[in-house]
Amino acid sequence: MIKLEPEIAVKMYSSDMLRAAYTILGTKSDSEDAVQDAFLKLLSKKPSFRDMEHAKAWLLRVTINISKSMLRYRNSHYGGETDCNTAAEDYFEEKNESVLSAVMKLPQDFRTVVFLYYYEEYSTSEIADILHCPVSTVTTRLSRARKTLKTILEGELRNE
Amino acid sequence: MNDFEKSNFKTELDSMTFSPNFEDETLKLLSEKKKMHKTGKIIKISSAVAVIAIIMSVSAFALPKLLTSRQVAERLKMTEIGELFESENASIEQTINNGNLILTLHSAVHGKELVNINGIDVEEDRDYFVVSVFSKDGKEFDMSKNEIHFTPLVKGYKVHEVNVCSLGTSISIIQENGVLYYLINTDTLKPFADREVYLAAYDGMMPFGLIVSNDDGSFGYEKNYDGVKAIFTLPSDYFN
Repeated sequence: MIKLEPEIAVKMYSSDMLRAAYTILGTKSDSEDAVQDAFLKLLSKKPSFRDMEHAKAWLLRVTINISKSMLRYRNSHYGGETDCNTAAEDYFEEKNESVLSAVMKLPQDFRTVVFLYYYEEYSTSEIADILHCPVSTVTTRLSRARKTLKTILEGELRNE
Repeated sequence: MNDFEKSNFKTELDSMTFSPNFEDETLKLLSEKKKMHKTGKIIKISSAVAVIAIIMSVSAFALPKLLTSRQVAERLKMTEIGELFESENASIEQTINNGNLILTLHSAVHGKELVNINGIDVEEDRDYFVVSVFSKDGKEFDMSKNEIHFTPLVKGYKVHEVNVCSLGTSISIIQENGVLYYLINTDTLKPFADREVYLAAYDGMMPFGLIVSNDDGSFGYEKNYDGVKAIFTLPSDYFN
C-alpha cells in the first residue's frame, strides 16, 4: 500500500481533476475550487492506495463528488440560474468547439461518464468503481449519451 | 462518439487552460493547512491570531488578521455577549467566497437580554451571530454606504414572512484593518429548530425583491440581482 503526498498529487493529477470538475461545473474558477478542496481532503484523510492508478481514481471520485455538491448548492442557492450548461454554452459560443460543447449540453451524469470513458479511457467497470454505481448504469448512461451526442452533433453539422 | 469525435473531444479538453498559478496556489494552501495541523491548531479562531482557511479560493491575496468574536463584541461594548462567544459550541467558521469578497460566519450563540416592555423588565431569548467580510484586494469599505446586510431566513417560510424585520434584528457593524464585522442580534430562532435556518447576505436595506424563496423552501437570489450573494446554513445541531 502506498501513501500519496498531496504535493506530488497536485503535480501529477491537477490537469485530469480540473477537466473532470469542468465537465460538471462548466466554469474554470469553480473547477479550481473543487479540485483544491479535493486535495485538502487528500491531506486530511491520508488514504492508502494499492498503486498510483488507484490513487488517481480516488482523486477523480472525490473531485466528481465535490463538483456535484457544488453544483447542487449553486442551483439551490442561486435559483438555478447559474446552470452549468448555460455557463459552458456561453464559453463555447465564441470558441465554436463542437464536440466539447455538445458534451456540455448533456445532463451532468452523462457528461461524467463520457469524460471518464472517452477522455480518461477507463473501462465501464472501472467507471462503475469510481462512481460507486452498477456497471449497467454506466453502460446505460454511455449509450444514452452517445445517442444524444449524435443528435446534437448532426444538428450542428446541418447548421454549418 | 466515433474516433474523430473522440480525438476532437480530447484535444478540446486538453487545450483548455486554467489559472497559470493554480498549482503554486494549491501547494501554498496545502502548506498552510499542514502548518496548522502540526501546531495543533484547527481552523477555528485562536485568541491571538485569527486565520481563515479558504477552501473555495484560488486567487493570491493576503489573509487579514481577524478579530475573535469576543473581540468584536467588546469593540461594540457588548461584553456579556462577548463571553457567550467563548463557549465551544459557539464556533461555526463557515466561509463563502463571493467574487471579490470573503464572508465568514464565525460564531452563533443563544443568549438572553433584558427588554423593557411597558415599564417591566422582561428576559427575552435572543440569538447572536458574528460575521466578517473582507475584500480580496484589501480595500477598506466605505462605511457611509453601509451596503452589505444580513437577514435570518427559515426554510419553508417566505422572505416576507420571516426576515430581519419580523425577527426584530439589530445589526452592529465595525471595520478594522479593512475587515467589516457584523454582530447580529435577533429574536430567538428556537421556534424554527425543526427547520433549516439560514443567514443570508444582500446589498441594500431590505431583502425583499433581492432574495427569493424557491419552491422547495430554500432560498436564492433574484435573476437580475448582481450584489453580494452568500447564504450561510446554521448547523443542524445549533438548537441542541
